[in-house]
Amino acid sequence: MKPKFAVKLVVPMLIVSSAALTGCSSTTKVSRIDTNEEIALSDKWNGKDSQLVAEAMVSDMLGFPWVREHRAKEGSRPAIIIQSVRNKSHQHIAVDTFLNDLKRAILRSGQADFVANRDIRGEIREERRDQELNSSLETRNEMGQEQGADYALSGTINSFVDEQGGSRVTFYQVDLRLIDMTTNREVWNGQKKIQKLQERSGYGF
Amino acid sequence: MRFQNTFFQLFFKLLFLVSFLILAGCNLTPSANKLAIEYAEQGDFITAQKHIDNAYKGSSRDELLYYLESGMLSHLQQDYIQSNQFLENAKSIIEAAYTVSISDELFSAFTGASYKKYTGKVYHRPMIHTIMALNYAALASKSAANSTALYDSALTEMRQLDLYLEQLKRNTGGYGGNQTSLGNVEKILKAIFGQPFLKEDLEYKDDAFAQYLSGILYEQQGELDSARIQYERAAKAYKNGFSKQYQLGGHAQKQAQKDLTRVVAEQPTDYFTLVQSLGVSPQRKEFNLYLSVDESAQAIVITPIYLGTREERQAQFAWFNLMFSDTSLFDLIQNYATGDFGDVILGSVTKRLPLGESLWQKAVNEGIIDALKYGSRISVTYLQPHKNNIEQVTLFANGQKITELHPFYSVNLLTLYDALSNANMEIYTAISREILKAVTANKAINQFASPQPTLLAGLAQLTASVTNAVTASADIRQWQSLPAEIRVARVKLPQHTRELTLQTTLRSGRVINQNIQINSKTQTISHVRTFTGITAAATPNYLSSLTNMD
Repeated sequence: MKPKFAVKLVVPMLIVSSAALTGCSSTTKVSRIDTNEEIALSDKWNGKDSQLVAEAMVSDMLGFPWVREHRAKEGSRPAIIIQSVRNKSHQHIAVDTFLNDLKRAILRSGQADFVANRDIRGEIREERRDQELNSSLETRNEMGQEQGADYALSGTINSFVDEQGGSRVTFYQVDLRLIDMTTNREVWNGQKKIQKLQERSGYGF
Repeated sequence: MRFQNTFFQLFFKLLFLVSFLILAGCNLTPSANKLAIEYAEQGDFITAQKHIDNAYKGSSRDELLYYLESGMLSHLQQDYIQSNQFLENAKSIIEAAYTVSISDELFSAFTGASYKKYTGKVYHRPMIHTIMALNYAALASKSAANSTALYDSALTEMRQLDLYLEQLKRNTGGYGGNQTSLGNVEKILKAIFGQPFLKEDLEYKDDAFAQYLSGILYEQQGELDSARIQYERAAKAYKNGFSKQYQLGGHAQKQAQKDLTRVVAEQPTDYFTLVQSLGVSPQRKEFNLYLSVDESAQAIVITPIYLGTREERQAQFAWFNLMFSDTSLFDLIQNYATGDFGDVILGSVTKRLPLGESLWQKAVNEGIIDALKYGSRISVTYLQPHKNNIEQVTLFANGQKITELHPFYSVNLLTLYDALSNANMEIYTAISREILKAVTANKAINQFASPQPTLLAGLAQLTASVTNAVTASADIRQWQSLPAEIRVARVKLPQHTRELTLQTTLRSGRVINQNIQINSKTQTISHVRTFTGITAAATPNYLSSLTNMD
């Protein structure tokens, strides 16, 4: 066997065989991990971003004087309705998940209440109408006893992307505002920014 | 001994040629995608999906095709949520393909082009975003509660599209409007080398249609500033080359300019937009060639093997002459200089690569000439030319003609240009791959075989050649369910219109009528697919002067 030829022939063959075998050995492994642990597989908006932004926004929102002023004036916790948070970013973002994180954080603080939005209200009213027909007097809930919202929460999620070769910087900006429903006064305006860098290699195994 | 040698060589050469012809007749790559869209055309989506599942499901190298074809089939069945799920997966695969897999490349180098993971074409991404945006818009028009969020999702697709096209324009220069016409030297070179096209003529540089559709969606959501930017980009791209390159006529550019002017004047109007996808994109087919050596002329020779129907053979002949054969003055001079006079004549039916004395000797030393002594099969793709069979498309409301639909996009030409621009690289890669395979196999055989040619050694060489021929299939995979052409109409509908009739007249005289339901007052865009039946293959007239093949 000529050694030079052996190297020329065997080495590429080994590479190809190992590559082919690598392709065959794809097994799926699933493990449970902590929901607070961040696993960033890409620069897309993920659950951790949603959680971080919600926490930062709530902390900022409750730090503004509107809660204290409302309590002093009305003697009760303010009620908030979520109008709309529009996703104007380049990523599909589950806005509901983000809003649920936000609501939970506010409710947990005990400083404000949320009232149901239009769709949920419609379903609840339908249920009450059903109760009027079918429930006993003691357990029936009356129509016209709903709590009106004092403040309306709305906002947008925007993004910018800068890309060069395998590097991509993604910048997310979440803007939220709280409007006094009686006076149209903007009592709070919050902003949170997230920047991510993704680097990809041109070649890999 | 010498007689025995020659006899063995002749015998095995003949045996290989017979085996090669048998193998070349078999299409080893899946053609199920074509069958699938034909079933979809007849409304049998279940069988169509079954064909796609059988061909691609579970195959890691074809998973992109599975998602693309399934996404389109779901879209045609108006299962928009499922369609978006499939297409989202397709996007992820294309995104991940940025990192080129070395193991995949190596594996394909030793096997064949069709053994490589399919990663799509450059124009697939805009098409995915466009279909997904149309899916979201359709869902939004049906959902009162989530309408805003779904329209936002349609715009998200358009933003992703914008990012992709920005990068594409950075890489290609786009349709800047300041492209200089060919210089004199380039014109002369083009004439001498006989290249029918320059890369610039074929390159996909921007997507005017996708930009235009993006403008429409932005305008419908009241985002006039974004709409203005998109209309402006579309109008510029159409004007500066997109319309000419894809033979779209002047309407698309005029419409984009009209919409731009209206948005700049802040006069948004409640136009209804109808997007019509027509026909099915042309099928990529396999074209076989025989690679051999001409020892007397010290040249490698590529001989086309024309197989299939009359139209297919004509198209193969045309494709070979267009792309590969030695018909340019430079090639003929080369043949004259290095071969005999016969090479000059043969130039129109073969491709000869004269190596010259020193390169020939290197090829002999490396075992290339020996490895190719029984010949080798190489296989490339070609596209059957299709003629435009659409005469006119008209939209009616309440029995009254309200507008005509005009071409805004040609997937037909996009596919053709892509195949043309890759043809030279494809044949180069195919030749390199087959030489590599033949040399490797030949060296392995020579290590263990007797130095004298025996029947056993010959059979081993033949087996290696046949094995190589089997894996030499061209990569004819493609997103087959794409339309051939897209037409658009923007029109103000008469009040209370709930149904439209779309009338497509083919050149054959056949008329296809389709009813389009308008779901609600909020529906401002609709997408309809019109299948025009199996189109007749056009006579490849661009080379009619070169061929009298019947």
